[in-house]
Amino acid sequence: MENLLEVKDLKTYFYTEDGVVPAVDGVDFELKPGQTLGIVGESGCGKSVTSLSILRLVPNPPGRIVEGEILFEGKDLVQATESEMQHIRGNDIAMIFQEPMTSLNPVFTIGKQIMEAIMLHQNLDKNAAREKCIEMLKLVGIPRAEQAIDEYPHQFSGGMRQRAMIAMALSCNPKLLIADEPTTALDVTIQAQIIELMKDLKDKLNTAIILITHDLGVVAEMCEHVIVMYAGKVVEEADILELYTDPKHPYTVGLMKSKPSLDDNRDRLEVIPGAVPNPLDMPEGCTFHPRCPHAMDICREKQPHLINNEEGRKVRCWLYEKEGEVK
Amino acid sequence: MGKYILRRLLQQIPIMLGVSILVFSIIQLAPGDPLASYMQNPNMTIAQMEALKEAYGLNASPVQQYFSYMKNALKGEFGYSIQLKQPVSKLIAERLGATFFIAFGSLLISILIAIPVGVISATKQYSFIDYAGTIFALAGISIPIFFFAILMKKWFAIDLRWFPLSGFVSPGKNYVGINMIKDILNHSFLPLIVLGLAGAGSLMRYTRSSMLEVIRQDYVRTARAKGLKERVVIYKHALRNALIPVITLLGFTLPGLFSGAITTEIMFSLPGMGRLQYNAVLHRDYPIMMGTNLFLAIFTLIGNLLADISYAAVDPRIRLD
Repeated sequence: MENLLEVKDLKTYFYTEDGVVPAVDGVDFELKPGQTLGIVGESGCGKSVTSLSILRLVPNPPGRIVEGEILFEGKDLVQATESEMQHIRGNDIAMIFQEPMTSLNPVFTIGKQIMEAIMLHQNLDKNAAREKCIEMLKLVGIPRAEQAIDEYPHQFSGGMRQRAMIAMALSCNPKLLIADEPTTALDVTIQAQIIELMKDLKDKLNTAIILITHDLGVVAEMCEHVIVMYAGKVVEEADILELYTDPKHPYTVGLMKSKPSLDDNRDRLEVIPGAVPNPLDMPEGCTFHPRCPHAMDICREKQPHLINNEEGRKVRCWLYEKEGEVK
Repeated sequence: MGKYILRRLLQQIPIMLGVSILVFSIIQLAPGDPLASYMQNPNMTIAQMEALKEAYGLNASPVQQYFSYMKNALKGEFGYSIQLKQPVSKLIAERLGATFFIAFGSLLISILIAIPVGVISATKQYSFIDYAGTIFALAGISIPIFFFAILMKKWFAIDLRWFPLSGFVSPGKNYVGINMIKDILNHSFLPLIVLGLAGAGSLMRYTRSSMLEVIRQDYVRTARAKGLKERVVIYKHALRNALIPVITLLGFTLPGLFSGAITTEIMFSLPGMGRLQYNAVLHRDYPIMMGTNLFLAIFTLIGNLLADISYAAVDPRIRLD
């Protein structure tokens, strides 16, 4: 099957007063129609910037896509004009954001904000758009949709707002939905509801999803394929089952260990020692080596490549790169 | 909404009473009195002086004077000007037109300049327009109005002879209809520009900073992610939010426009409230001072009320009842 989205060697840098921050530094991945891809990693690893780059919403200045291609149905979005992007945003690719409390405009009604997208992309008149909007609100499980459409965001709870955001994002039947930490700001019960809703809608509408999160539980629930990012780079890529049963990269192993579980009664969770490196002062060699329990001499000197091993899994680590095979 | 407005209007009554006491006390505390100029007349006898004081009610205690003033004011009688020998209400009514015209005209000019420039300065931060706007605002805030007025008169009225030097209408012409409007516009152009530009500076900076904050908000990104055109994102989604604090500022500016135009009215010899007030203060003309100040107080309160109402109109989170 043809790829819906292909990201090739994407580099998005921020030009700040203190120096250049390589927020996304050579990311590759691809996505087939209807597939769900998870992107996981700690805060500041470049997950969100990757997703904003796809929609070309990285604030410029200071951010800029400096290199790479983002092929959406074969068309390179990096080269697309602003008006071509406006046609794609909300229509072919929609996005939901982390903060439902602040992602809706406080001065317009929920209905007006959803109808705006429908009227823009689907050439429907006001009445038809209103019908469609009520239908979408019902689809995402908002009670009393006929009244809720005329309410303002401040009259909605956090979970309801995120439902409204999802309704807005899906109202134009996008081929790709980018969900940037859609459940992070919600409490656990609501999180589960939103995840159920997204899974349900994915099956109904056959939308491809990129799910960005640092919640490994959410990834396990939803995704077929996962990429793990660290300091602007992909460090591991695998199918969901393989990643959970047999994580390769020491960083992924660390992430898995730091995940709380219902079965054990540890007082403290395991942590990965250290912190994400300062992007202005990246360590030499592998960016993870100062925190890595398996660091070798070579890790301090040379960057490892993202290698395909025998089982078709990709990992960026010297442990799996055999001598002499270095490209 | 109607209930809210009624309640607010009722609340204004005690405030007005407080304001009247305050204004009356301040006027009484100021040195001199309306009859001071008569003192310089060597032919004036003490008995005549006393008779005058008695006639104007200045012999009574300040408290008695206040109560008799308020008793009449509540009946709609604001007394006679000591200096001009005319009813205060008539004097104010005559000058209201020019004052309103100058106040609202200059406010409109301020808004028309400040809001677009403020928005562009924010969306194109650190661009040429932003710097030009900043310099313009700095000039608008820091150049004293009297100096700016003289400069404009020198350039446009004396050197270029495009506009008349002063006044509100051409004396002795008695224009009517369209010609009167033309005549007034011709006379008020310079004062409107002077006041409008002076007010635009701070308003522009305010719009700019409010807009800068708003365009970084998540919902602006959401609007972009919907595929809306940048123009719609900025002027519909962002501006409406950015205007909320600007409206508060405008509410405070409105009464200031009525009194703050004094300098301009004097510089351009306009027959407005400002000049009336200025002359009244010079001559300690108590009835006019009281009348004009109470009048301004009413406008301040109305301005605040209007700001609160329009606040609720733009921001649905604010409920008035």
